[in-house]
Amino acid sequence: MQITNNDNTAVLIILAMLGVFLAVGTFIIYSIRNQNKLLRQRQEFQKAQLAHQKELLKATIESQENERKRIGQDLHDDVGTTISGLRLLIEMFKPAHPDDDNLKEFTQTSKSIIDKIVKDVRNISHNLSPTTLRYYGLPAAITEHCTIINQSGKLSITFDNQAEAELQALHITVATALYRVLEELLNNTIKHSGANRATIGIKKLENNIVINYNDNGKGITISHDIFKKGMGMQNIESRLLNIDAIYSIQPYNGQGFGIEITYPLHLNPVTAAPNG
Amino acid sequence: MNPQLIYNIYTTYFVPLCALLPIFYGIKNYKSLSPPFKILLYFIVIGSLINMVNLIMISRHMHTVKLFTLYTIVEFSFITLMFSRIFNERLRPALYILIGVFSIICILNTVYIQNKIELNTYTRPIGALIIVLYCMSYIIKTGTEERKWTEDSFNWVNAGLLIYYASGVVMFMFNNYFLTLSTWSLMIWAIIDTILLIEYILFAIGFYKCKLPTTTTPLS
Repeated sequence: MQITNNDNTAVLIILAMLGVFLAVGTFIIYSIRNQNKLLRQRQEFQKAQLAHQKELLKATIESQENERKRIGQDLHDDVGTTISGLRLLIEMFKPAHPDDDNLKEFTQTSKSIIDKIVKDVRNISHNLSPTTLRYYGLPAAITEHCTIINQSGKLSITFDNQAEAELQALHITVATALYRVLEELLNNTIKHSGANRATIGIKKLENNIVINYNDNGKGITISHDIFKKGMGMQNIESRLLNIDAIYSIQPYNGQGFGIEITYPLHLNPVTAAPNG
Repeated sequence: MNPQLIYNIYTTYFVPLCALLPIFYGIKNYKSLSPPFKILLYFIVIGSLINMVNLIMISRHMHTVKLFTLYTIVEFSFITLMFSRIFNERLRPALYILIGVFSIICILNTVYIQNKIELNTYTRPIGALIIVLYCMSYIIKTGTEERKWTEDSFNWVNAGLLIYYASGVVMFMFNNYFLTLSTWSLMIWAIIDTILLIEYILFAIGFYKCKLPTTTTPLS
């Protein structure tokens, strides 16, 4: 077989074509890998940033809770005790003219005011640091809070708990977060919704705690974006974010406000300490 | 089966018909196509029609080399137009001038230089090299973008163009050596047809991706 110049040129051209094809292919694969690597690094950086922000949020919430607890205890122990002492002092006071009507009226009014202050201090102290939550767990704390609101006549709350054991087993951080969220929701309902009924339903669904909160108020009449920017909702969002819970607000249908909160139980810290 | 017959079916029917694949996805997702993709779709349709005319003329034993000049002008103009919609708007006038200059050079080359039964081996490689330059610019510009490579539908088109024109540039230079039907020239034509097939598949993926919520960002 005779090899001509044309054959040689053809072989060289084929080799050149295949060489360029391989080089271009390699270059494209390299740029794909490079771009994907950059993207991955960026995502990892964002993830780290998010984790850091979450840590900061956690620290803020923890310090806030600790401060609330301290103020609550101080109020209860110091101010409460002092005022009770004052009431006792008035009770024990022996006037020169015990039958003086003005004095009797003064004593009665003073005692009533002191009783009101004691009650208020107790409520504030309870709100700042719910002792029931620490000593008896989340279901008892919610029940107690609902009872107080029901007794005030501002709202009629129905609490349906179908996950007693799971709620009891929640870590105090998680329980506090969920309690604060429900507290905020009830507060919003009383302040803004004009509702007279609210329901709290808690159940276990697969391996999640699902909390459904509904009221029969006017619902969200503003856009969801504006609604989410409100302080109350931001507070709810940051507390839920801190425990990795998710939430979804029911779309407005002219029939009140509704929110569903889902907390994955596998995220519940192992060192569960429901009783603080 | 006769290898010559397989070769003929592959290069005359199979590969040219594969152009229908990107055309199908292009028409299917036409409403979602951005201007560069619309220009690409028109190019594939017009290019396929010229190729069809070419095949008919070959079957009637007519000279088709002049058709290659027309194809080179159409190919360069459409691809440059497409990149003019991708690159910065300020570059557009320069690219329009480039199309005009290149077309004039192609015509002058056909009339005065390669005016016999020769393929335009001077102008087509130049056009291919400029297209490779466009593709490389796009890769360099988008290389640092923070998104997955596969999400940008134009990346697929760009890869197809780069592979075809970079690999083909050597062949375009030496086209006139292979107008005779030797085994080697058949092999070279088969290789370039296979690369063209890869280009069509990548174009089809690009058109398919257009219906997904992804965008091709213009380079500024």
